[in-house]
Amino acid sequence: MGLISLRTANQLYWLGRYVQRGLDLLHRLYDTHSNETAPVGLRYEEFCECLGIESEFANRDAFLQALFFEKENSYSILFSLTTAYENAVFLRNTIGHEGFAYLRLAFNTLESLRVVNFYDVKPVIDYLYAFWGSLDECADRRVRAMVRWGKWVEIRDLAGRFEDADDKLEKAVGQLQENLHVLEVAEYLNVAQALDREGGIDFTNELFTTIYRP
Amino acid sequence: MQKTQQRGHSRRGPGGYVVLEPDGGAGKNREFKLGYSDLDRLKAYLNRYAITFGLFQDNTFQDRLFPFGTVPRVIGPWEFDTLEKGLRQRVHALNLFLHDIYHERKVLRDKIVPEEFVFSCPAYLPEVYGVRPPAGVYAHLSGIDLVQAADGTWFILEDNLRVPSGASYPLIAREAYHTVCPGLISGMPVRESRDYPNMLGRVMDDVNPGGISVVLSPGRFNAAFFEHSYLAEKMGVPLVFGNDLEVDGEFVYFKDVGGHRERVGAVYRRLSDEYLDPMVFEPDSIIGVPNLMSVYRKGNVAVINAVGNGIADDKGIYYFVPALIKYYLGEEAILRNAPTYLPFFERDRKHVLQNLHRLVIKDVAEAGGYGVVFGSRLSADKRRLLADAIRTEPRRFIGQEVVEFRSLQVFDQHRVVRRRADLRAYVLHGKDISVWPSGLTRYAMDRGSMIVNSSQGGGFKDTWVLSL
Repeated sequence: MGLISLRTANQLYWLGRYVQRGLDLLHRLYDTHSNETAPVGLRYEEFCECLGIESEFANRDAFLQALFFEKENSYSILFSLTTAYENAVFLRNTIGHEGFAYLRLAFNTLESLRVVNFYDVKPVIDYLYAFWGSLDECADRRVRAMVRWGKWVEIRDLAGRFEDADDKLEKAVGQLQENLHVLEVAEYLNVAQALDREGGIDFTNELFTTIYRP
Repeated sequence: MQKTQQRGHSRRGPGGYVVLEPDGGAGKNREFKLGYSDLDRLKAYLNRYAITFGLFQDNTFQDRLFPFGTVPRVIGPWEFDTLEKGLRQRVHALNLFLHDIYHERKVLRDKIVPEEFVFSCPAYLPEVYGVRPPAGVYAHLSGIDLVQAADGTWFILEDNLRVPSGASYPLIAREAYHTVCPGLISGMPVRESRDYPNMLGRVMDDVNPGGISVVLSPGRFNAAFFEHSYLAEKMGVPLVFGNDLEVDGEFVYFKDVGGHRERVGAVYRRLSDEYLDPMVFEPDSIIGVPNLMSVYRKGNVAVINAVGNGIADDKGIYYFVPALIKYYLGEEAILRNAPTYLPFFERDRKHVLQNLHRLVIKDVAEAGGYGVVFGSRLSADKRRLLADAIRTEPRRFIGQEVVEFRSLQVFDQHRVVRRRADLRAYVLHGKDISVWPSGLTRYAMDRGSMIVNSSQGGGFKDTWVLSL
């Protein structure tokens, strides 16, 4: 089993969170876009509320533009992918250069776009899925578990914000518990209790400050 | 029109191609062509993986894509055979010199190298006097820079025995050729180079006194961080930063996040001596490993390359290398130095001062193409200032004849141009000494320029060595 330093573990976790945040938001926007008038789609004002952003955009297009491309705003998808990419630069040897390349392609494709066009955005989603697939194929078991830990913490967080169906939350909790065993830390805490608090985010903070050896 | 008919030139237009030009006349009877479309694909392949070489410009780090000259340099088998013998000989002698300097110092007593010349060199480290590195190897990985003159003669320009970088670039480029034009590369036939990570891994194993091997990087903002990461991945060893390691008692350990530790036996460090251990060298270094030197002195960890190697690749010591080969091995140097003068010696100083207008002057303390001055390009005032500096600090400079080295084909915006290029050859020293059958060919970006260094904006090529 590969060795992972505390620094690497922390970056793997954040890599997982930011990749998933980008992917999850792209999916939600895609659904919203294609179902603007249907009950399953969220109106953009509701979308803002779920993300905790003030809904002060001139219209839906301005909102989409900001949510996709405002790199300096931490809620934007480009910000998520930029941060994921920055982490991946550090982690190229750990996640494998194929996985790194898919993330780079996703980042470059999104960065090259100027206006929101869901057809053009589709390859970004494809590349992000390819990233997850490559990680499964190429990365060490503990590395995968650490990135996935970040991924499922993010999924759980967003599922809570957007008030997704219970089965999605349950799935996230199940995945988190599974990964805890691979990460060899299940013995430190009551897992269910840990995941009850802020969807595992509090627990992750503890993980990096107390449980893992700084 | 006449130019396009010359050997090696391309047919223009979208269906154009470049005819490869093997050095040493190999493959005379057969033409090997690379189509323009393949050259474009090769570039795209490397862009996909973000092959970067960072530059600091205006105090800002720019992680720029390393310009890739997609037309490879091709070296014929006989040509490489001579290079290989000469490079092995040179590194063998330099390794013996390093041992001697840090132990018996016979070379000084026998006055092959002036004593004051060694002790005035900042890269000489008294801290490692008497320290024998594991397996007695100092120069595990040497990057030897060569140029080929217009008449085909190879000259050694510089030895790099501290932290030579660059092997990963032709290595990943080779992957690109195998993907984009596998028929061409297997049809030539080109010697396999993708074994480099294993060669380096074997060297580390040869000198490892026990424990895992790691690549120690100074961090993300090092110019060659891509390389640190790529080689660590390909060798299958952890990439670590200073604070991922700790010294406890007699050994160095890697701190795993799960709470356990693994002993480290070999550190392929990509940081300079002065930052390696703040307890011994630069006290403000936050990228090193405190007390690493105490473990190294005990022989419980191999540091690759050995600490203190800088004395052997000092630009002034370069002058003595042919004499060192004779002294240690009893052989004539197979590969020639570029004609060099040491202002440290009065006779040479006189010659340098009289010929400043046609020599190239190098500051021995500088690297990466910095501190290189062509006398012919200086104004009279600047030449006078340089002459004064040479008189005041003769040890600081060397003077060299300008070698008009060969230009190679570079594919640039759908046309083929010629740019001057050198070759960094990699010599690996574990139980045996071997030369990697490839190398980093670096070329100048501008027409007529002789500065090929990556840190000065130069590009790179893969180097294909043909088999017999």
